[in-house]
Amino acid sequence: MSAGPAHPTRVFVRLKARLVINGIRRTTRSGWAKVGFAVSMFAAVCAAGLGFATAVGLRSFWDPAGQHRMLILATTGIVIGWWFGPLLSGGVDETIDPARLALVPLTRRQVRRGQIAAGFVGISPLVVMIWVAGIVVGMARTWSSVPSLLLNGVVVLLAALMGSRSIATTLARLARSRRGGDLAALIAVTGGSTVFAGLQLIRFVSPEQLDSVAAVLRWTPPGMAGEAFELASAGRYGDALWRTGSLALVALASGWWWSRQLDLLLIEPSNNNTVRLADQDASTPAIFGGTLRRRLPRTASGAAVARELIYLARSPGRRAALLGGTVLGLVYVAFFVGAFGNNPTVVLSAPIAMLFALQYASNQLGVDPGAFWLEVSSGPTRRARWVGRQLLGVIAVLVPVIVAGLILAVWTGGWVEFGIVMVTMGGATMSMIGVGSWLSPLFVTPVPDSGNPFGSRQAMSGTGCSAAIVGMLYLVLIGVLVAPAELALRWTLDHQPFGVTAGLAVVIVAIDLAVWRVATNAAVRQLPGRELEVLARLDPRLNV
Amino acid sequence: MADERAVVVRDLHKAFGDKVAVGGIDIDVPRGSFYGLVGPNGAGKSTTIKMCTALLRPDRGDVWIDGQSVWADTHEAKQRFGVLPDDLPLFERLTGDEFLTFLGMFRGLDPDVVTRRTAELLEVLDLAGEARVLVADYSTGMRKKISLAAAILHAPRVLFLDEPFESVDPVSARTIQNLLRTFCAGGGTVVLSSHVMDTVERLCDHVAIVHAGRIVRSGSVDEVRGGRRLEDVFIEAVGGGAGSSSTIDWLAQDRPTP
Repeated sequence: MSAGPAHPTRVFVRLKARLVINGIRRTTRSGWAKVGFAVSMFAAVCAAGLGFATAVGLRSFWDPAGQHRMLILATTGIVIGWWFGPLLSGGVDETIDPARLALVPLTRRQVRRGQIAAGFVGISPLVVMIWVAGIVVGMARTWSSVPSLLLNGVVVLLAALMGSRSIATTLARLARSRRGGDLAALIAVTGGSTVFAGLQLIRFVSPEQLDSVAAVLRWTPPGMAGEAFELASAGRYGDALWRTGSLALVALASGWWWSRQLDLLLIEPSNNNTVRLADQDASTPAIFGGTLRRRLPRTASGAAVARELIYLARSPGRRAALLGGTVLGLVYVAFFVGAFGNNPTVVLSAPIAMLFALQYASNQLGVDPGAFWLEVSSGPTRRARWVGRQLLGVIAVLVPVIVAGLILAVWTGGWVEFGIVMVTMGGATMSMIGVGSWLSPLFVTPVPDSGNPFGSRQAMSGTGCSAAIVGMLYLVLIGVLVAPAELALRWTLDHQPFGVTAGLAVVIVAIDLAVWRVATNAAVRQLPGRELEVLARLDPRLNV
Repeated sequence: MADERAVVVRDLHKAFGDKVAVGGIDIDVPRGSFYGLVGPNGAGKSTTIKMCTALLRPDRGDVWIDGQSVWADTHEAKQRFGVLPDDLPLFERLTGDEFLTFLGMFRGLDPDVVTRRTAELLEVLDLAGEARVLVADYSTGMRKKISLAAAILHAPRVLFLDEPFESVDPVSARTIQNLLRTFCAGGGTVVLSSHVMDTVERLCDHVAIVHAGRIVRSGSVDEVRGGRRLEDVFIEAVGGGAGSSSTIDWLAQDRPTP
C-alpha cells in the first residue's frame, strides 16, 4: 500500500503529454488523417506566430485608443473562447475526464491542481499561452511593469482554463440524463456559437462599433483584465491590480464550482438514470407509436424512418447538432447581410446556412456508428438502410436553410427570393443527399451519438480538420449546382413570362431528382461490397 | 482482538428515482475469504460493489474496509482496496504498460516497484506481447485483464471484482483464478460478482444471493447450498422457472429448409 503520489501534478502533466502524443500517433496512421493533422498544425503555427507578432506590436501598430480596444477584445476573446471553444471544436476529450481517475486515491485538491497543470499541455493551450506572452512582452515598457503584467497574464490564463474545466465538468454531469443532456447541448451550442459568431463577424464591424463593444466589455472581469495590461504598462499598478483581482475572483468562483462538480462526478461516474417512457397501445409495434410515426408503412423502410425520427426526438447529440448547425449557419448568412445590406437578393444566400449540417449529407454512414453495426449483422433490405439516413440528411440540411431564408425574407421583404431558394434547395438537397449516399462509404468518419463533452475522441487528431475540408469541397460543388439555378430563376422571373420560370423550376427539380435517383441506386448497389471496409472505419477502437 | 472482517456493509440503500436498486444490504466478509455475490441481472450487485468502492454515493448506510469507513474518508479507503468495475472508462490512448505505470505513480508507488510489478502482471496475464499496444486496440477480454492488473498493482488488502470472468477466454480465466487464489492465500480478500454459478461454487468459500436489491441467502457456500447445487438454490431463491419460455410458440416451430 502507498500514501499517494509525491508529485501528482507532475504525473498529471506527463499523463496529458503522453495522451496527446499517443493520440497523434494513433490517429495519423491513414494518409487522410495525416493531411488533416498537417493542416491543423500549420494553422496552429500560423495562429501562434501571427498572434504573437500582433500582440508584441500592439504599442507600435495601434494608437492608444486602438490599443485599449484591442486589449479588451483580445482578453475577453481568450477567456470566453477557452470557455466554450473546446466544446464546439471537440477539443474537450477523455484526457481530462475525471471519471477515469475515480479509482485512484487522489484528493480533490490533487485532482484539481493536476488537471489545471495538465490543462496547459497541448497544442491549443500552447497557442493561447504564446498570445498572452506576446501581450506581456508587447506591453512591457519598463522592467518594473513586468511583474504586474505577468500576474495579469497568469490570471487571464487561469480564469480561462478554470472556467473551461468548470463548464465541461458541469456539462458532463448534466449529460447523464436526457433532459440534462439537452440542456448541456444547448449551453455548449449557444456558448460555442457565440464565440464562433464573434470571431467571424468582427471583420465586418467598424472601429467605432468595436469601440462601443469594448466600452461595454471593459466592465466585465475579462475586459477589466484587458485594461489591466494597459494600466500596468503605464505604471498604474494599483488600478491594474484591482482589475486583475476581479478576474481572479471569477477564477476562484469557477474553481469552487468545478470542485463541487468534480466531487459529484467522481462518485457518480456512470449513468444510472432510468428513463421510462409513457406506455402505448400494446397492439402498435413499439417504433410506430406517436402521431407521425403511426402513419409510416410497416416495412423495413418505414422502420428505418421511424428510428431516425425517434433519435431526432430523444438524442441530445442529434438535437444539438441540428441546433448548432442552424445557429452556426446563420453566422455565415450574416456575412452576406453585412456585405450587401438590406437587399432582397441577400435571401438567395440562405443555402450557405447548411454549411454545418453537411456531414449529414456527406458522411451519412458515419452518423451513429452503432446503427451501422446492427444493420450489417441483421442485414435489412438494401434500400431500407438508406431511407432513414437520407431523411435525416434532408431534415438536417433544409432546416438551417429554411430558418435562414425566413429570417432574411422577413428582414428584407424578399419573399420571391425565398420561394426561389425553396425550389432550388428542395431539389438540390435531394441530389446532394443522393450523391452523399454514394460518396459516404469513401469518406466515412465516425460521429458517435453522445451528448457527453468528454466523449469527443477527435481532439488534436486532425480528424475534424479533414472532415471540414471534405465539407468545404462539398459546399463548392453544391454552390455550382444551386447558385446558377437560383440566378437563372431570378432572371427569368424578371424578364420572361411566369410560365417560363415555372417550366425552368420543374426542369431544375427534375434534374436534381434524377441525380438523386441515379446516385441512390449506385449507393444501394455499391454498399454491400464495401460494408466490411466501412465497418472497420467505424470501429470505435480505431477512432480514439 | 483484531476484527476478522475485511469488509463490513451496513444498511446500504440506493434508489434511482422510483426504482430501488439496493434496499438495505448487510454483508460481513471474513478476512482472507473469497466472497461471491450472485444474483440475476438488475439485482443490485454492481450497484452494491460501486457503493462499496466509493464509485457511487449510497442514499443510506456505510461500508468499512479493514475498519476504515469508505464514505467517511474515501481517500484513505481507496488505499486499501482495488476494484475492477464493470463499466469504468480507461485511458484509451495509453499503451498497456503506460496505463499501469501511470496508475502506479498516481498511487505513489516507487517507480522501480511500478516497473517491476507492471512487467510481472503483464507477463502473468498474458499481455506482455501487447504491452506496447494502445488500450484502445485491446479486445474486451484484454481490457478486463488490464483493468484487473490495475486493480491489484498496489497490492491492496481487498479486491472488488465485478463480473471478472465475463468475456475472458478459458485459459485467461484459469490464469486469473490462480492469481486470485494466490492473493487470498497471502491474506487478501476477494469480493466478486458473477452470474456463473459454477465459477462461484468452485472459487468462493462464502456467497450471498442478491435479489431485488436485498440479500436473500448468505453464508459459507456449503451452508447456502445445503447439499444441493448452488444453481438450484439460486433459482429457488430468486423465484425463476422454466415455464416462461413455453409462451414463445414460434420458437419451437419447425423451420422450412432453405
